[in-house]
Amino acid sequence: MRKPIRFYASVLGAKCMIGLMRLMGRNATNLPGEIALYFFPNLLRYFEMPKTVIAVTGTNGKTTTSNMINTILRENGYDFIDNSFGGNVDTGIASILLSNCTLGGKFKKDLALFEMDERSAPRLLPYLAPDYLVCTNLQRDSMKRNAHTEFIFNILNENIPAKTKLILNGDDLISSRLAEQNSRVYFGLDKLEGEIPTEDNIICDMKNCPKCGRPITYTFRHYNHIGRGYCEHCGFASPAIDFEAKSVSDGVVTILHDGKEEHYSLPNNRITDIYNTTAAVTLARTFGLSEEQVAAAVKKMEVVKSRYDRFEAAGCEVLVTLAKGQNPVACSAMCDFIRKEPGKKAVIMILDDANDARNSTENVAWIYETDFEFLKGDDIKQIVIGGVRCRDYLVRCLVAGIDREKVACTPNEAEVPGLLHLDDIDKILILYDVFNGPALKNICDQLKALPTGGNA
Amino acid sequence: MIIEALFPEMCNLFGDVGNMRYLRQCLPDAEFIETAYGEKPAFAEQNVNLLYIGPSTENAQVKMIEALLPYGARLREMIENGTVILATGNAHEIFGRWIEDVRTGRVNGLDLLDFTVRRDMMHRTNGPVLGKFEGMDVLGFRATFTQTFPGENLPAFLQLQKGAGMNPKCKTEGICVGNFFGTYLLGPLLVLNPPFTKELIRRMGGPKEPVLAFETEVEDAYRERLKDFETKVKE
Repeated sequence: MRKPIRFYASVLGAKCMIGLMRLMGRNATNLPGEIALYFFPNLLRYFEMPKTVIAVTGTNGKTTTSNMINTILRENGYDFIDNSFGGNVDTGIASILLSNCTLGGKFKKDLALFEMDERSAPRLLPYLAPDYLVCTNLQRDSMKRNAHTEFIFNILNENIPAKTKLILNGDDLISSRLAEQNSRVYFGLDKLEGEIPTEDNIICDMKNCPKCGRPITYTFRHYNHIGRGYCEHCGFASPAIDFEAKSVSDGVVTILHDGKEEHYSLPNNRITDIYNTTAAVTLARTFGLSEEQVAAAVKKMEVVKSRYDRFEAAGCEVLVTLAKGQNPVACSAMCDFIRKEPGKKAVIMILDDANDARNSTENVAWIYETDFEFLKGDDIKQIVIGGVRCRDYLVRCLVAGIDREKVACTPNEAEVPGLLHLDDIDKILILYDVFNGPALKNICDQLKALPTGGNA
Repeated sequence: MIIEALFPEMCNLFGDVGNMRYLRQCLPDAEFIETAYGEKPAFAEQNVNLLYIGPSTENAQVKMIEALLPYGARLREMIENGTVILATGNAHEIFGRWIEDVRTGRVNGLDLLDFTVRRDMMHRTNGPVLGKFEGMDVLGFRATFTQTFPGENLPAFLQLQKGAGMNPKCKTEGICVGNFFGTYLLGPLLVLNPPFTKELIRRMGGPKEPVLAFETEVEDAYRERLKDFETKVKE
C-alpha cells in the first residue's frame, strides 16, 4: 500500500514524542495518538497490522476478559502487542500502534490483542480488522455517551469486517445477533445448581422480540436480559452454545465443549466472573490452544485489585467494589452482590462523577434504573452516602423503599467514616466510582485506623 | 384517579421509570395501568387522568407510531379536552408531523402537533437544562440524537435559562399545548422537580395542595441542585 508523506511524518513525530515522554517518566498512553490523529485523521488506515489481531469489546467485562486472554497467551509463550496499560479508544490504540511500529508502519510482532471501547467501533474496527472479536455483552451504559444498546449494536454491526470470527455471548439476545453472516462461536452459562437468579432488575433491554416485536419468554435469566429466551410467535431464540459453563465447584468451572467436559479455575464465583472466564477460555480454545495449555494459564489469573479489594478494619471485613458510576447494569450487579453477601452489613456509597461534581451538575437519571431496591433488606443495617449529590441518592434510597433512619449522607466524602455505627456490623461494603480513588483511599485509611469494634 | 403508562417495556430508557414509581408513592390510591405493546390502550375506552410515555429507541418509535395510528382521533380529542399527557425524553417526537433521519430518511408521525424532528445518529446533544414554567424553575437533563423544529404557533413548555433548546436556534424547551407536556428532559423529571410535580397532580384533578412522597428530602435535593445549576452550569 502506498502511504502518504503525512503518515510517515505522523509516525516519526509520535515516536519522538513517546521517547521524550518516557525520558520524563510519563506514560505515553493517549497523548501521542491523540496528536497524531489530529495531525493525520486517516493514520490508522495505513498501518500494516500484525498477522493476527484479537479484539475484545462489550459493555461490561471487557477489561477483565482482555486481561485474562493476555495472561493465557503470555503464559503460553506468545509475544504480542497489547493495550493492557493504555487507553481502549482510538487515541489509546493509536498510541500503542505508534510506539510498536517501524517507521514504515509495520510491526515486528505477529500478534496483537486490543481491548476496544465499543463506542469507538467506527473509528477502529475497519482498520484493526480483527481476526477474532470477543464481545462480552451489550448492556445499558452511560446514556450520555452510549445512548442505548440498539445504538451500540448498530455501530458495531455496521463496522465488523466480513473476515472477523466472532466470539459471542449466546446468553445475550442483543450481542449474539451481531454480524449474522460472520463465522461465530458462542459461549454461555447454564443455570447453575443453587444459583439465586436476579430476575427482579429494573432494566431488561430485551423484553420484546427483535424480529416481530412480541414478548420474549425467558427460560431463565441470570441478571438483566442475560439468560436464555425465545419468541413463541416467530421462533426467534437463543443460539446453541459451543462453550457452555455447566457447573461451579470449589472454585473450578466445568465447561462443556463438543460433548466433553473441560475444567478451569475461577478468580472468584460471581456470575460475571464466570462469564468473563468462559469468554477468555472460548477465545483461547478457538485460537488453537489446548485445554491443558489454557487450564494451566487460567490458574495464574487474579482479579485486578482496583476492581475488588478486601481488608479487615475495626473488627469488620471491608469489601471494596468498583461500581462504575453512570453504568446502571454494573452498579446494579454490585447492589445484588451486597444483597447476597451474608452477615450484618453497612454500605458506603461514593458514586458521584468526580468531573461533574467539580464543574457541573451530574445527570443522576441513571440511579433510577439502578437497583438500589436490592439494599432494603433487614441485614443491611446502615447506608452512608458521600458526595455532592448525596441528597439525590438519599431520595433514591427512599423511593427504593429503604428506611429513612438507616440512611446518612454528607457532601464531604471524608466525613463518611464518622457517620458509621459499627456496633452490630460484620461487614462494610464500599461502592465507589472509578474516578473517586482519592476519596476512597481517604475513607479506607480512616477505617483502618479505627480500633476494633470501635466507631469513628 | 387513573394513570396509564404506555408501552413501559419499550419506553423505559434513561431512568424515566422513576417517574411512575415516584407517582405511585405520591398517589397511593390512584389506579396505575401499564399498557404493553400489542395491547389496546386504556385511554381508547375510558378517560384517564394522566397518560405517560417515556423515551425509547428509534426502532421502538416507529413501532409506537404504527400502534397508535388507529387511536389518532382519540389522542387529538384528549389533547383538545385537556387530558394531562406527559411525554419525556424523545417520546413527544411521535406526536409531530415527521421524524427525518439524515441517513435513513423520513418516518411520518401521528401528525397531532405542529412540529418536525431531525435525527442525526452521529451527533448527540447532552447536558443540563434549566427553564421557567409559570414562574417555576424546572430543571433536568437532555441526551438526544434529535432536534425538534416547532411550528410558529406551537406553545413551549419552558422559557430557557440554561442549556439546549428544542433546536440550536430555539430559546424554548418542550411543548405545552393545554395539558400536553412534551419535553426533551429525561429521567426522573417528577422526582427532580417537586413544584412541577405538584402542578401536574393539580391538573390531573388531584388536591389543590398536593403532598408529595418524601417531600422534605425531595425539596432539599431540588434546592441543592438548583444552586448547582445557578453556580456551576454555563448558559
